[in-house]
Amino acid sequence: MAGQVGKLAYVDRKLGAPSNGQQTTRVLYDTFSNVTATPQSQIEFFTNFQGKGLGQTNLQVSKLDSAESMVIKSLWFGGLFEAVDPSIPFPFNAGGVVCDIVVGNQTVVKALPLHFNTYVGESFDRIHGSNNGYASADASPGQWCEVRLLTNIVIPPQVDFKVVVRGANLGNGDTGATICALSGYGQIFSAGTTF
Amino acid sequence: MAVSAQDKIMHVANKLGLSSLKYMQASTGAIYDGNTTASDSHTFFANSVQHANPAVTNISDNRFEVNEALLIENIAFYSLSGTDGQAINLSDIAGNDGAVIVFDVVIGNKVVMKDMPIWKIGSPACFATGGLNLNTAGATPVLQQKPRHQVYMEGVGILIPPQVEFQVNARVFDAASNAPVSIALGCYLFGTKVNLNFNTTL
Repeated sequence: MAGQVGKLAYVDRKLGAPSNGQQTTRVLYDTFSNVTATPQSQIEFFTNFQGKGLGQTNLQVSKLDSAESMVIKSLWFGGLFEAVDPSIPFPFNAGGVVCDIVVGNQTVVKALPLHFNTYVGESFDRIHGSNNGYASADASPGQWCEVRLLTNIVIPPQVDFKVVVRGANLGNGDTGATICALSGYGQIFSAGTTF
Repeated sequence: MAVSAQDKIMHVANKLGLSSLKYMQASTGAIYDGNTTASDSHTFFANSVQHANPAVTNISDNRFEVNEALLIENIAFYSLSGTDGQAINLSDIAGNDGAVIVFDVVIGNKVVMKDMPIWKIGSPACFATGGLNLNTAGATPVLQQKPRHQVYMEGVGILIPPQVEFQVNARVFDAASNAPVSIALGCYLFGTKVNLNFNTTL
């Protein structure tokens, strides 16, 4: 299996994209503000940036800069809910919750279930739990779920991408937010000697 | 040197004459199916078209599309709460503490895993802790370690090729008396996935 550095260089080369940027660890994140009394059946991340600040997302468009690219190694989702039943953590679902990742016009991760890596305690990863629950002193829970991907998924420069989460009762129609973060290895723009 | 997941997929694809599989999208995937009705005998994936999607299952046919495949690297069992199919840890169902699930995995007309046991109190091949989880059985948010009910495949895994029917058959017994035990049960298969990628074919 090609390593993440090799895979990124391979895809960039195929696309004619620059591959001399600063190599680094990178996390892209986007936040959906839950709508009170309106549970969601689908949440799209990295498509709507209107009115969002750095606390909610670190992108301004749904694509990376022309000299930037990234390998997704891990999907992370978090939910911040207030005054909900803390015994049912992220994504406060009724039944299964699945996730799609679309890069360009291609679905690169298709209907990947997330809920097993939460309270169910049957996480995909043998070594890591990735299914922790946290109950704060005031019983307002913060919950998260992480899925480590088995294959390197590349987001090339200047290509639209989005993450779609589907299920019932997402966000629980409560206050707070639902967060998606894509964690991995990437290249960021480096002026170097090119200027 | 160990065989990688990609090596295994390509080896099986070559044996089956699937010459275009190598051009498809490599990914990570999992499929799941469950029965919300308690029973001592379950068949998963074969009847998934009749189950709510994505509440109870995420597939509509027990065959993958053309040029899609899944290398099974992890098989897990869980229980389901209520009719909405909310997945819960087997330790969160009341009673039946001596329950043992015995399952087979069938691909095509071949049994590829046979009489595999998973006990309600836990199972082998799961050395690592699952981390602290919120107990969904109680009214108060109690953090606890839960047992895993999984089989991590030794070696690389087993490939479900495109367009071949597959299913998991499970029966539930009491380990002490061998009597049948009725519970709602679900199953997922997780591993390296191959997704259809049209590339330049359209």
